[in-house]
Amino acid sequence: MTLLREVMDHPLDPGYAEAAAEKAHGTRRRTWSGRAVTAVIALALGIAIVMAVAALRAPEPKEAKALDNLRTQAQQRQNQAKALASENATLAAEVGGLVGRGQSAQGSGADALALAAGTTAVQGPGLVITITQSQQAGGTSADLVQADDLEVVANGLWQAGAEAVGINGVRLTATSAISEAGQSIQVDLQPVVSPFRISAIGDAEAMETGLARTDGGTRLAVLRNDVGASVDEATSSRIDLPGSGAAAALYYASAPPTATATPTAPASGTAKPKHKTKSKATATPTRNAASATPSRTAAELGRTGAGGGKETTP
Amino acid sequence: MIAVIGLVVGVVAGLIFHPSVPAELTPYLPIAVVAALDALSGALRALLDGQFDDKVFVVSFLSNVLVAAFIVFLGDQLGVGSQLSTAVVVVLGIRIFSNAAAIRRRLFKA
Repeated sequence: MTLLREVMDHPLDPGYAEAAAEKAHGTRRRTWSGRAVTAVIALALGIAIVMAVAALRAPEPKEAKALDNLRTQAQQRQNQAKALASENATLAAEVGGLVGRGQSAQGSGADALALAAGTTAVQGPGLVITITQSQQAGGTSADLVQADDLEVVANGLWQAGAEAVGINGVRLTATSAISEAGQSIQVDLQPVVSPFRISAIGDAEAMETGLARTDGGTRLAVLRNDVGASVDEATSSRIDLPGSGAAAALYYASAPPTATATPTAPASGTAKPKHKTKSKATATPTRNAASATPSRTAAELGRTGAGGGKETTP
Repeated sequence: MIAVIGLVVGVVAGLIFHPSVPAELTPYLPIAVVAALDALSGALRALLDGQFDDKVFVVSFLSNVLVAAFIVFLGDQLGVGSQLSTAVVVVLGIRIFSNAAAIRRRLFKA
């Protein structure tokens, strides 16, 4: 307690009182050298204190270094992912070419099928919906655009009569999955970031009015008003969508015997096998392991909603 | 007064030239700054009491900063660095508060 009382009651250095007493008695002698030393030390202390304050206000060099490290790593990984994606695309094109050559024997119907199935690139007029995440979005999921939102909008587009849909250049096919991994959104296991451009090829006006009547239109309004994302709908006279490459290889699914008996009706026959394709795709180990939430396929839902292969007729 | 002038010149020089602190000294900087604040508040009070003295000011300033940094260094070596830092901050904080109170009484008579 004496210590606390000492600290509380006598915060002033006793030296000041002593110096004052000495001064009062006139016993104090000041030399010029002493003053000079005092001044020099004071100067040094001033510089030191400013250095200390400046160093404390500057960001931690270690953190900055770690951040730099992470940045370069992220850059490297992105480059790797890009390289792998392009390699994948070339290989897929090769496979597609080989498959096409194999199928050409089966007639020209294969080309139309590939176009409808999304394995080959398409172009045409349509609608582009751009959803840009708000810059002020915090960490809470309530003000972030989520995979579910893209899914609902894509479904709405299918329902409204879209013939081909792509998100940020990733084509949606019968086996596409829109999933969430942490805070990032993946379309077919390829990460997509804001701004999300959902391009749909089809009758733009019909899609615009049709979309407003679906859940997709409602969700766009929610995104615009509640989530704070900016939503932009624009018609485009020409949209280029890439193909998904080779169609997913089917290991378990095969056409039922009745379907094989009528190979001449590919368009109307697509609805049922699509379901099989999807359930097969989620059953393959690679797809399951990588996607955090194997969500409903946009294409699949759209198809069931549109009812009966409406979108497969170009 | 010469000490105050020296200190001000030093602060200005530091602001202009932006010297950098060696990395191994960084843990002691916060405590050193608090100690410097304590010495400054003491000096201001002494000035208002009419007891200010250049030599006492510089010596108390220097010793405050060095002792505070040394205590933290010792604490780091013993594995109680953060606790000792807290102790130093508490003591210096109380002193700063008491000095500030005395200054306030003298300036505003309240």
